[in-house]
Amino acid sequence: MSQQQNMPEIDPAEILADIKQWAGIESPSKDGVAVNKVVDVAEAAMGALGMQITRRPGRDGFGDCVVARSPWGGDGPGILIMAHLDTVHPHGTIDEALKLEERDGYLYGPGVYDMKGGACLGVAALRQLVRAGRETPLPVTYLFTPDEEVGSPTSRDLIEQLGLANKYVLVLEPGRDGNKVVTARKGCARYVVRAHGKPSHAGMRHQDGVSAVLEAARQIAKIEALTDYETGVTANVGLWTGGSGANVRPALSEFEIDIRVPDHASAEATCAVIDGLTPVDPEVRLEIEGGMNRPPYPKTDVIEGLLSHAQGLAAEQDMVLDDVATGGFSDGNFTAALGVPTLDGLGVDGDGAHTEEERMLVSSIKPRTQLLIRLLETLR
Amino acid sequence: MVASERILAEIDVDAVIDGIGRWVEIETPSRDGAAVNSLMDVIQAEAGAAGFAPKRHAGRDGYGDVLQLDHRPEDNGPRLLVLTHVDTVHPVGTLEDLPYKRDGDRIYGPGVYDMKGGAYLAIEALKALNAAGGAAKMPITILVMPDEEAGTPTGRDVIEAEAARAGAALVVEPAREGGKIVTARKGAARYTLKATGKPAHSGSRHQDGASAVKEIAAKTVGLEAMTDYGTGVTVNVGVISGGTAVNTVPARAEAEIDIRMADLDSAAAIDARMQALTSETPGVTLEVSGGLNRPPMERTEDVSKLFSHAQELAEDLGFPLETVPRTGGGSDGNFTAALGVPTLDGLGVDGAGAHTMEEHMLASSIAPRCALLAKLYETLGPEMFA
Repeated sequence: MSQQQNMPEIDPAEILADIKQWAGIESPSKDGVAVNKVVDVAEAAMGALGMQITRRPGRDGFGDCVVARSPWGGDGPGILIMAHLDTVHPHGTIDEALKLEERDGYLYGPGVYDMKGGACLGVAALRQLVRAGRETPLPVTYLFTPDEEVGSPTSRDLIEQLGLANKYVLVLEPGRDGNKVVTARKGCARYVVRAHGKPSHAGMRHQDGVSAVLEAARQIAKIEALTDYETGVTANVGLWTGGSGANVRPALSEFEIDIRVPDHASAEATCAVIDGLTPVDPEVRLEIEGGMNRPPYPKTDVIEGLLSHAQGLAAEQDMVLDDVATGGFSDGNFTAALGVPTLDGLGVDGDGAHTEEERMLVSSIKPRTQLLIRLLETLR
Repeated sequence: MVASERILAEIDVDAVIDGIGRWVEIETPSRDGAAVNSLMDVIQAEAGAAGFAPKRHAGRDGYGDVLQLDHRPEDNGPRLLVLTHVDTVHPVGTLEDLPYKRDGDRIYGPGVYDMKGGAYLAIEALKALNAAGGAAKMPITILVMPDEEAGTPTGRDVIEAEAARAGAALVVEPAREGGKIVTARKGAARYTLKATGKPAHSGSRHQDGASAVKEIAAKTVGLEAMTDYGTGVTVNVGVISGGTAVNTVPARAEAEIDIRMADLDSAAAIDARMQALTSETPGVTLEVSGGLNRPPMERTEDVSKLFSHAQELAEDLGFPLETVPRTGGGSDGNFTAALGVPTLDGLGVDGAGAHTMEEHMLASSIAPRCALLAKLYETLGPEMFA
């Protein structure tokens, strides 16, 4: 008697219900207790599929990490899937500013697009494989992290460790600009610069003071001028404060810089400029703190190859898959910088990340889940 | 003219020190109108007993009242306007760390030097003059201000109204640098610059943003460069705030600017330049508000006459009187001087440490300063400036 394996269909409604459940639990990065409520749901979902779970407790107030490894594929290097479960939205966003609701083919809600939607696609892809009784050639490890939106301070080590232990990394960050995946991300440097001057009464003793604000202003002009859209380097002085009163020569001024760089060479060159800043006014002392925060994720030949492979799989379902480079970073920067072939932006399509217009395209659920399944099935 | 010795004999320095102490021990930060008014009540009672007709101008915006003390209120001739303030920069509780205390010649306390000491002498001088058998030539109006340290936002109208019927003005702000008085003060202007750009994610959408911080930084460099110690113009971009997050192109930034200048011409030129400021950063708009806060107090010919006269009186009292070069700090004297009233400033007690936890007056300055005021009351008449 011949046996015929079940070939269940991908059910977008079931996946949409998952996304609504996950997004319904608000999880701002800095509230580890809240984030852990989604981590619990993710852990349960992985456990139900027979994945081997390791849950690493959080620290510094952040939530836990969950590592779920497939029981198949052996102990060797395989495929690492990554998703973060925290969002940028504060508690209460879902009640008023960004209600969880379906409208015009989109699901709106905090984190639906960035990136609980993508996280649920990863679960759905593995569930589909388990239901069909199919194993992939390579073992699959799914890492859920709690702190990506604040720079992954407590999960970076685990990301890098798992990245190095695997052959490929698939990041379920949102697709963008109309179904595109991400094959390059800029690196990011962060700096805090403090200028120390000397206070004096601005009316009576102007000449005795040394203005920290003036020094900061001169440095800001230099730093903003590093922006060059041709080479892809951008420098943003995002925050600036200084002084204690209009009639006091300001003794202290501080500003914070966000720098994006496309590759290692520009990272080094740009950081060298900031590290080497010297005060225009020799009486001012400059204090410079910071450096590279996320390494650049350039599109290497290997990544080009991974993209071509994904494009071939997309063609199976008549999907055109383009790629894009972006200035925004993800945990994919960490693995790409270690030389692990990384394909990013494999989550749901949509737009409005980090805004009160955040939404995901419901029609992207099925084709993107299918693409993910095919990647898991074909990467060797 | 009453002999200097007779006036000096009427000044009971220990009693004055006790009296100033009673005023200092009522703490009066500018923005606590109720606290300031509780001292105004005490002064009103004491001045009433000394023969002044008191009048209160009700405070507003949380500040205390202006206390007007008219001597010979029925006299319609030109008046000698005496300006003083009893608000201080010190918060309530400062007395715990800076109690009213004598240490040798120094007497410490919040506001003792700037300027409750001077305020007390303004009343005491008339009492001493009268007790010595003298009389003030012009009727005297003392204005006790509640908000000078905050820039006189609510009391300026009263000063300017009284300046209109004044023949001269004396300001009992502290003496400085060893008893020197003030004959010229810079004017002070305050401006706020607000830049409004366009926010964008600095990683993925940097090119869509327009940085308000960049614009304010550029303006800061340009404005600070207007400082010219030679002409007496100083520009201070004193307070800066801008941006919402390091990874967002900042849509808003703001600067508070303090500018001092020597004369009205440069005040006008500076104001024209400030009002004409426009943004040099594409996508950013700039909004300028503010203007001249205290007009410059220039050393006019009448002020020189007034000063020479005061020098002669001081010499007769046995001490030399000098003036400091033009100071950058403002006082209520700026308002009267700008209206053409000959104004002499810095006639209060000597000491040091204004606005600090070292604030003190010198006990030895009480008698000579009080006597100088009394002799100015006795001798200043409108004919001096005819």
